[in-house]
Formats: sequence, C-alpha cells, structure tokens
Amino acid sequence: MSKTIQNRIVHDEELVFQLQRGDEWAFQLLVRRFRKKIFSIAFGITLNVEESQDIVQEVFLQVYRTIGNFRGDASLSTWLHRITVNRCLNWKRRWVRRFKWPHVSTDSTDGQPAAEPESDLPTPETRVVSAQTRQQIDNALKMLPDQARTVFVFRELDGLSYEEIADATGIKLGTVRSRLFHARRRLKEILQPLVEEEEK
Amino acid sequence: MTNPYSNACDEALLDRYLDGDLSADEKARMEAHLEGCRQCRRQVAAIAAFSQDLRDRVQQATDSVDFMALEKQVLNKALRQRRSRGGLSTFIGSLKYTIPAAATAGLLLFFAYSNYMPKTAPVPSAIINSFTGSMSSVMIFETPETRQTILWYNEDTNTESEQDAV
Repeated sequence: MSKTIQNRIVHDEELVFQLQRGDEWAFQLLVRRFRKKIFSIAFGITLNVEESQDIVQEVFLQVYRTIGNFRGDASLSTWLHRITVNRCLNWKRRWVRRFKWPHVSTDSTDGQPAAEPESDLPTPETRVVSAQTRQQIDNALKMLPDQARTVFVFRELDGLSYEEIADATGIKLGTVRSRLFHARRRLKEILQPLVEEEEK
Repeated sequence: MTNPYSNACDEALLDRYLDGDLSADEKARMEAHLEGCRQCRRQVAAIAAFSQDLRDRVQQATDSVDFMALEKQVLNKALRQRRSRGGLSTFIGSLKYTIPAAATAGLLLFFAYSNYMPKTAPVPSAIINSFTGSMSSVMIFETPETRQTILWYNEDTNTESEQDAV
C-alpha cells in the first residue's frame, strides 16, 4: 500500500523505516492511511462508535511506542490488524468485568451464546443503535462468539483471505475456516426467522 | 450438503462459494445446484444481504466520525508521550553518569580520610573515678576506645585486722 504526502509516494516498507527513525510526518501518514480501516474493524467487533475511536487511538499510540520492535516478519497492515484485534478483545473483557455485559466465551467455538442477563444499565450498543435493521445486525453479531465474529468481520469487511486472517489473529488456517463456517451457520440460524417473516 | 458432484446440499462447500474459494468447475456446479435448491438459495441470499447490511452499518458509523479531529488527538498524545519519554530518558541518562561519579567521589573521600588523617594515640582522656583503700586502690579512666579500670593491691597487709576478722 502506498500514499502520497508532500507529493511523494511512500510505501509501507519505507513508512516503517521512517517511523523507526522517529519521523513525525511518517506517523501522521500512518494515522491517515490506516485510521478508517482500523476504525471499521474495531466497530465491527465492538459495535460502538466511541469505544472504536478510543481503540483507534490506542492502536496508533501502541504502534508509536513499539515500532522499534517491528521486525517486518509480517506486513505493517497485518501487524496493525493484530494490535486492533487484541485491543478490541481487551475492550470487551473490560465491559464484561464492569457491567457483566452479555458475553460469549472466547474459547467457545460451537456458536452457542450465553443467555443474556437482563440489566437496566445502558450497554455500549444501546447508545448508538436506533434503526431496526441496525439493531438486528448488532444483535446477530453479538450472538456470535468473539473469535468467530472477529474472523467474520475480517472476511466480510476487510475482504482478507484465510491466510491473512490467520496471520492477523494468530490462529491456524484450519481454525479460520472452521470459525468462519460456524459464524455463518450461527448467523443463518439467527437470520432464519427474519427471512421467514419477510417472506410471509 | 451441497456437493456439486452429487448435487446434494453441502454447507461447507456453500461456505467456500460465499468466500469465492471454489474452482471454476466447482463454482459452475454450485450455481447449477443453487438454481434447483431453494433452501441453499435462501441461505446465500440471507448471508449476502447480512454482509451488505453490515458493510452499510459500518460505513454509516465511519461517516459519523470526525477523523481529522481523531488524527489530531492521536498526534497530540503521541507528541506528549514522546516529550515525557524524552524527559524521563534525559533524567535516566544523567543518572547514568551521576551515580558512578558520586560513588567514586565517596570511595576517594573514604580512602583519603583513612590514610591521611592523623591517628590519635590511645591515651587516657579522662579519669572517671579513683579511690584508695587500706588493701587496694582503684582508678577508672577512659580512652577514646575503651573504659579501663586499674587496681593496686597494698602488700603490707594489716595483720590485726586479719585477726579481728577470724
């Protein structure tokens, strides 16, 4: 990937080099290049605008602090994806601890979500959801286990290949296929009543 | 199950079809299967519609964000982080030289004091107490290091006194 700044094309490899030298314009270019992509992944996982913006900031600041450790074994984009996923899952754990938010274990891959405990506290979603369709999407995504949702979001939003998803999430290729398969199977079950309702 | 060779439904293959992961031959057979299978068609349509809705939903959320302001916030925080790290590293850097210098100065002072300071002779500095009795005399005095007691015995014993005692 490349983009121009000061009328010059800068590829990711050069961008990393400049970042490691501590160039501030390179950091600005990095933020500008990846901000929307990171936001969309964060939002796909958290379904919350404000928290996703915080996650975007945390991701870039972590990159700023640790760019010296980046050896280039993976691409810059994959590294950013990995940091974003970790931040999102940490965010989810924070909410679970704070409000006992409806949560599906990250270890669960059978697609069976836990029953939603009733709570009067506003959840991160209820603050942003308004339209019925949006709510249906949010509810359906929420019912997926965290890891399955992450894989699904990478595939559907970012169009990443199975290999790229495996690199970004640190799981095996077979596990990516399996999680994607279970995510879609679960979504089909969730969406089935809605489809039938529409057909009536 | 949608096996393109048997024309039966194959969920896993349908999943790969949704990902565009089928060979041309598999894809042609899958499409042939879909023409005749309402159930699989509905599943494909439902997932495709959901994916599109999700993309629209994310786009809507993305449009609501002021990314220039977000960028500015990130840059400011990074700059602050750099400054505070810079200050801390300068302080740590200065400690790198200050601590060994202070330790060396301390050692030099210690050796200089122990080698060049005049050593005082252990003479009595004060007589604390003394008394003289018929059989012995006692003197207690202090030196800088210790407190000493000296006893003198009188060799001319008083025999009368001894006899009285028996």
